[in-house]
Amino acid sequence: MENATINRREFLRGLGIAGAGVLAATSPWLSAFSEVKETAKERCRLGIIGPGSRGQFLMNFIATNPKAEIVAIADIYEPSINAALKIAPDAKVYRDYRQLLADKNVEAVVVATPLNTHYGIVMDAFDAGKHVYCEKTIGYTMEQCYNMYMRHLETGLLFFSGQQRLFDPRYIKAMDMVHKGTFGKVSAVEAYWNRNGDWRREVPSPDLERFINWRLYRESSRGLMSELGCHQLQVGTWALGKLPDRVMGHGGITFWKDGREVHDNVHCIYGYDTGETITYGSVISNKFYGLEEKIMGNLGTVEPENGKYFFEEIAPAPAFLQMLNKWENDLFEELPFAGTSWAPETANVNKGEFLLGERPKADGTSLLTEAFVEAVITGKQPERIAEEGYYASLLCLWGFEAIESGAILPFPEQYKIDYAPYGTKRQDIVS
Amino acid sequence: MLPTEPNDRILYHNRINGNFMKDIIFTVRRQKTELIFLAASFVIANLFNLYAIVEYGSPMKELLTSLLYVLVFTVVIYLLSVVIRLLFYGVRRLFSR
Repeated sequence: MENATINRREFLRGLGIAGAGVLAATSPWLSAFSEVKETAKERCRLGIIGPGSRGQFLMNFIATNPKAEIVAIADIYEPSINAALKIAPDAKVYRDYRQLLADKNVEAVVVATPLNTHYGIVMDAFDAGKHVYCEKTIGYTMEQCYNMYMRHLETGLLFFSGQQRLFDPRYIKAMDMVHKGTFGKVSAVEAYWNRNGDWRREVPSPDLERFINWRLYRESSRGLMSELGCHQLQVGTWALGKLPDRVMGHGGITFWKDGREVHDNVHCIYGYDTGETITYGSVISNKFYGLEEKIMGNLGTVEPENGKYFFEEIAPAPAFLQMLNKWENDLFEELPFAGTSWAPETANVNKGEFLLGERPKADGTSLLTEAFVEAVITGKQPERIAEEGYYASLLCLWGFEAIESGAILPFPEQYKIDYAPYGTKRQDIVS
Repeated sequence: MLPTEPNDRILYHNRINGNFMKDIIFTVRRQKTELIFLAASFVIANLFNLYAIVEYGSPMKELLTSLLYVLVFTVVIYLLSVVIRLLFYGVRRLFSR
């Protein structure tokens, strides 16, 4: 992934809107930046638990933020510690995350460890009075996610999850347009993430296989659903403005039969009582279609990853060109060797429009970490950000259970929280 | 007897002075004629555009927005008129000999 940063000014300019306040209905978590001037001279002290590849990726953004200081890291894998120290040379090193949590100098922690360890670390962090940024998926089970969210509410401590699309200008702009009804009634969201690779990392010793390639084993991972699906399912509910009512799924190990335990291809259908659908698929033995979320309304389609949108009805070519086109057709239709040579270029191609008028520079990770830093300084939890992370995690784990059981599963009522994403506002606009 | 037409006079002058390289003379009259042909081509191209706009039910603003296409078409019509005239005068000259 491109390690590019985007600052808030570029971000808002890119959106082509006056300020973040305009987006409050679509992306209320942007309120994290509301006191950015007041906090200009303040600085927060962060600890990184699990500075592996993802942890280091996040550290790169945090280390360049003048309002943040990485004061401690905790890991048990020496190469990760050494790499992390190159980014934050002054950080104190702990081999046990509990020691880091006991460090009074640490105000907040970033948790980027394997999925099955999130729960214990995050709960301990809340108990230790630390604000938490936890990489997605936040928990290994739905129950864990629920308990973590509830502990966040009980303690009043900050809880962020690594849903960087929430801060990606392409997505924010796309959702603003979707919620305003620009693309009409959205009936379906088709999300997919395809790669062609074994998803493995090199291991220095066979003993470390499960430790390093934790994503491939059931004891520590929910596979493609938890590692990739989590991002994209949140986009679906963000666009539709509500949670699905049921899910069905299928998955298998069809190509990478190398001892892994998680599926190398998964597909889920999330259905709504009102008829809408979110589909999610991920295959890691074919990369042709890559990665996208297609938000499909009756008036148009948005592809936020691609940064483009397409209206169903495209303006016809100018009449003059249509006339020339007809002349050409009339002239050559009798001749067996010729056909229309340029008509598709003038009349029928829907090339779409860029959401931001240019190709995007980066995803929202830099802004997400920046928002976390702002929140730690102000002590204010931005609206809906914990809830988005919670439900994104729930959706992927729920889909995983549907794949495992082969059944159509209703939404687990016991894990519903007091939160209706966007709901009525959007429905009023669209219908 | 000296020729009266400017073109012929220049040719005569060149011949007298032993200058047999032929200068291309673009007289004011010729310029006017060509400008009239170009203007006529522009008007015809616009009429075609107007016809297309009515035929395809397009907005009248295309009279302006399609100006680039119309200008290109103007040049095409004008060049066509040049070819036709050259053919016409060439054939007439052939038969007048």
